[in-house]
Amino acid sequence: MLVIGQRKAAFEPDNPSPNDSTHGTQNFFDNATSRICTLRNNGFLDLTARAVEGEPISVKTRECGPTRLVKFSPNLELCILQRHHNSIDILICRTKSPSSVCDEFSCSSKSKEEIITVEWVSNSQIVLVTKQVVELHQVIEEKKTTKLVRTTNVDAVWAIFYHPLSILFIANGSNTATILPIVISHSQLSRLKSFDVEIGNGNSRDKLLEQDVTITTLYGQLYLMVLRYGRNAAATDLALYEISPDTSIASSFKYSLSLGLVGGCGIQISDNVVVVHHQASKSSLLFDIGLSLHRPSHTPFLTLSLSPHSSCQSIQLYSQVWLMFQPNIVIDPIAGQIYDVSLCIEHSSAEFTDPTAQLRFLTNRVGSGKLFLECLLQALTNRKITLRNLSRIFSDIVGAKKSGSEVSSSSSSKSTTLFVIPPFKSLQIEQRDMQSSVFIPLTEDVSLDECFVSNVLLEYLRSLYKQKQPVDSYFLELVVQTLCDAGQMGKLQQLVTYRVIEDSKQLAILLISYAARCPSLFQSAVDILSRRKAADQIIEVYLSNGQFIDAARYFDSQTLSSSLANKICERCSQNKNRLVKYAVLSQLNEKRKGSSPSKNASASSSLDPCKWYSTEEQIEANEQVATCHELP
Amino acid sequence: MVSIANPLYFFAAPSSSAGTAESPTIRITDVIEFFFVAHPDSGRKEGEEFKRVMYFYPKNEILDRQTDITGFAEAVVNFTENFVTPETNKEPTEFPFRTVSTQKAEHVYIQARSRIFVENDQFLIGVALCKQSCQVANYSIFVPALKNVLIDSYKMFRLFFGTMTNFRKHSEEKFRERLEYFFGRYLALLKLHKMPLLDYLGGAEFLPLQGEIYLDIVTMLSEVEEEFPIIKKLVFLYQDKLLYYSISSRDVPSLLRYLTQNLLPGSLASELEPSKKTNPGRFLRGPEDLSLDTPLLGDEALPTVYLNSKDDEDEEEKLQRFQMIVYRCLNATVCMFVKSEVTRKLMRNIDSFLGPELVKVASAIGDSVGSNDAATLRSSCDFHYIYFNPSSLSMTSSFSETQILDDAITGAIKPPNPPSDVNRLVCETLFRFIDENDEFGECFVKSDSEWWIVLKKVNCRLLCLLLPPCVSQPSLADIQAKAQSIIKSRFEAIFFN
Repeated sequence: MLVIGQRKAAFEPDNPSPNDSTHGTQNFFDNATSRICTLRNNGFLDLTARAVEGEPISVKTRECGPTRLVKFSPNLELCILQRHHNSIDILICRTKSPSSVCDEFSCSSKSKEEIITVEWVSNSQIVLVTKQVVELHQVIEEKKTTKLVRTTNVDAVWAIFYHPLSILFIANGSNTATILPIVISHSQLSRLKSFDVEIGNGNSRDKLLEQDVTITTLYGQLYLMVLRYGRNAAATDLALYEISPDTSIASSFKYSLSLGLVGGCGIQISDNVVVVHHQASKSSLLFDIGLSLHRPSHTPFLTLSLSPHSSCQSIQLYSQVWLMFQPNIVIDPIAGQIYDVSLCIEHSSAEFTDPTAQLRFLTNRVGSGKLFLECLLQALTNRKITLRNLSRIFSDIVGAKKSGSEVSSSSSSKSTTLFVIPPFKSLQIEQRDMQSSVFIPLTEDVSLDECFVSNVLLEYLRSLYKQKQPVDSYFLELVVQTLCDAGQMGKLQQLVTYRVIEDSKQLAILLISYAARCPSLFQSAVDILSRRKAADQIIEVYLSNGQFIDAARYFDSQTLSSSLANKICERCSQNKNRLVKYAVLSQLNEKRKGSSPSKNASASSSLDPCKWYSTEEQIEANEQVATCHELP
Repeated sequence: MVSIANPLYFFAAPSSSAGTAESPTIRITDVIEFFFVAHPDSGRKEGEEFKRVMYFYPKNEILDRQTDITGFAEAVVNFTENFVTPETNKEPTEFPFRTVSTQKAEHVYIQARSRIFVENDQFLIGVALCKQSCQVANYSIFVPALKNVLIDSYKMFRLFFGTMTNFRKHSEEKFRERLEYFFGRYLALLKLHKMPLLDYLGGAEFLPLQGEIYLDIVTMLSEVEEEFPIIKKLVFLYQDKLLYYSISSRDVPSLLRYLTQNLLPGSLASELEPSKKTNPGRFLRGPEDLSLDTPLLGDEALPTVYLNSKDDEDEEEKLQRFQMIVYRCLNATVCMFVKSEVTRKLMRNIDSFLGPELVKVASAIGDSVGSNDAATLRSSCDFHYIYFNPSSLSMTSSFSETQILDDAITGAIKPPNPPSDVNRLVCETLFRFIDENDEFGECFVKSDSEWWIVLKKVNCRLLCLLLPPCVSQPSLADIQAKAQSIIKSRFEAIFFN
């Protein structure tokens, strides 16, 4: 599932000349643009920057002492080279011809102090951090100069810059465990509340080191992750501090991902999953705080090994020389290869034994919709998931489950938030898709217990109600149909009585069609029609059931169109019992006379008493009358 | 017994201020002439006729008279057998019965036998009410209702002990002992409704609830059934009203009566005691300590009940023995029926699986019940009603104890209780003018005392309205209009045209 080398590039490995420091090859990794930058020295300085994909950038510059770092601007047009401890050179990479030496200009820190960090804030702004000052410089390319825009005094031991949000994290304090976040936006340096990182009592290291800190966003929140160690230099856990965007609220400890690993660890983030690669055991631990955002301590939901992509089968996995960078770059400096690591959810089925865990994992991944539906259907078909777990999964995919800074910021309107992260949206699945990809295949699967299927549908219905989602009428029909197929007529009737299944004429008609198997559904159906004020249908239903007396009685109590009366008359005249027929027809006639004195031609024809009875009936009636008279 | 939590406390308290001084029920012991259980086959030998009497009430009746009464009943049954047309094609009624009306009393006898006629081993159970005492108690006897009361008492016995035939065969001594134990208590507590129709119809009161919460209940119970396949049947109650059952509808009235009148009130007091548990759910009956693993024996054993059940879809229902687990939390009660042996481990698992979910559901029901019915149901009305749906056994009535209790609490104004002749008239009208097999029927009756009775049967469902006399002396048309408006306002959701 964790594939390495899907995208990769080769570069020339480091090759320091034994005698001359100016001749050789040196590599730098530029974090912001994820590029490996190779400097080759052969009279001129040749700079080649490669990413895992795309064309490499090549420029030439003049030779001027050993280089400490290489950093490209976001648009790749400018490049910082640091060759002196208190100044940097900015190369203009847009050269007319590749062979010519590119122009450059320098920028030094105001304080003339040693620069400990330099980063691009934007294409035209850089930030320099020295032990005492943070300086924001405007780069003016046309004039080949820089201008100091803003400074702020700090006490810095080391600093990390988080590019996506332009936040600088400055470490100071006795064990360098006090972190001051500074947000750089709109040419301003704004401080957030500083906070202390707990590096642990039994920690074998007495200082917080830059290499043990990773900055990342997970589920719409910004975290500072600290690798913490125990007594025997084993990494005990990864502590996550949630960085508060609010100037009045200090950042605080939020999660602990338990590790217990001895030896080298590399941390990477992929699709909100924290991956801890462990060199000694040649395995990677996967953590997903999204599985339970309220639980403070997490254990890996999966432990697996990297699998090489088909194009680089010969790769030596978990090599000791590997260098790991954020968010997903692995560099093998000996082999001269740069790889990416990606989470391939398509292969997740092979790793998860419990489908519930897999489905919950998938709901938080990007673009997992189709796969999720396939896995859900499979889990249901194999009865590998309990209803209780299913209801949790349904509540995840129904309705908008959002998490992130937006949710928390809404509560405090007065305070100022200095950065905004787009909220995380978990997988949402439309009712239509659930219907076509899961529910219909389930109902068509004859090998499945119908009761189970109907319970599944009811669980889904429940989560729709819980999230106040309007329920599609075709889904309700499917629920009714499945309950009937399962023979759970009593349950269906109770659900209709308690109006769990919303009233509609279609539902009433559907219930009537099942009334043969469960007569009491008939009354529920007529109740619905009555609640929907569908008087016409009620009469139709009675007539089709042969209950014309009841139809007539109902007609009597309502003010309805006379065409219905004709229908009742028609049905009634087919009846065998002359007395009943007479009673009903004359009652209807009475009502008709009362309501509309002007008879139209069509109505009167059906109300003509002579037409009510056949000739045989009239003869029979006459005979009976005659015999009555003969009686004394 | 006197505890705030016991709803009967309010009901029984003489100080209850509302105008419900007159109880809607009477004790059967106030009007009963006798009650017996006889096994005719046991008294076949001459001189040993008395042996057929298995149980007799009153207890102190002399043996000769016991023998005479049961002998008379047997004779009546045997003699009238000659006139009964043999039920060839029709399914035999479950309880053949005879009624005898004498100057002093009304008798009803039912024949109870095992449904499989392997041998003709039958029991005769009879009851007689003294006419004079009934008059004193202002109770009008309606024989079909009395018959159903008698059948119910047998069913209640059967619920706990299985069929009499099997039990007696097992041990006659123990059988007599149990009859004594059971009916001694049962009759002492048994009440008759002054409106005999309630005893005659014998439904169960359902709790009105929002669909969304109802679905929560249904899905929760499905989850329980899936998690514990050992649980075969379920019943869900809130307070003393029914919400869901998967037992046979034939067992619902008896079981519900046992739960609401016996098990639940008795356990309410302990519910008020502070619990050490974090989860407020608990089991009624059964072991105190669930953490052990010792088998459940003696006092710790769960109650056993006999329910009509079938193992297969097409099979006919037959009486089967179940263990009953009753779990309760915040007024919500879940009864689970298990055929095999119950262990403490199972109960622990049920507790942890069901408890947290039931708390949520129960409090949602509580919120909903507290908010919605105050406005609609509690409003004062100037008539009496009985609603009954035979297909779901749903019944609501202004005469039911819970309704009267609610009214007493809310102080709703109620019409006077109808006199006994009106009660009788209602029963007779229903019995004579509305055919049991007809799905529809309608009848308007005015009593001598100027009460109007409206009976409506629509789609098998019965609505009975009793309108007290009023000054304006309404015409039939007025009453029809009035009935129409009551239906519109009170029974809007139900089709009564």
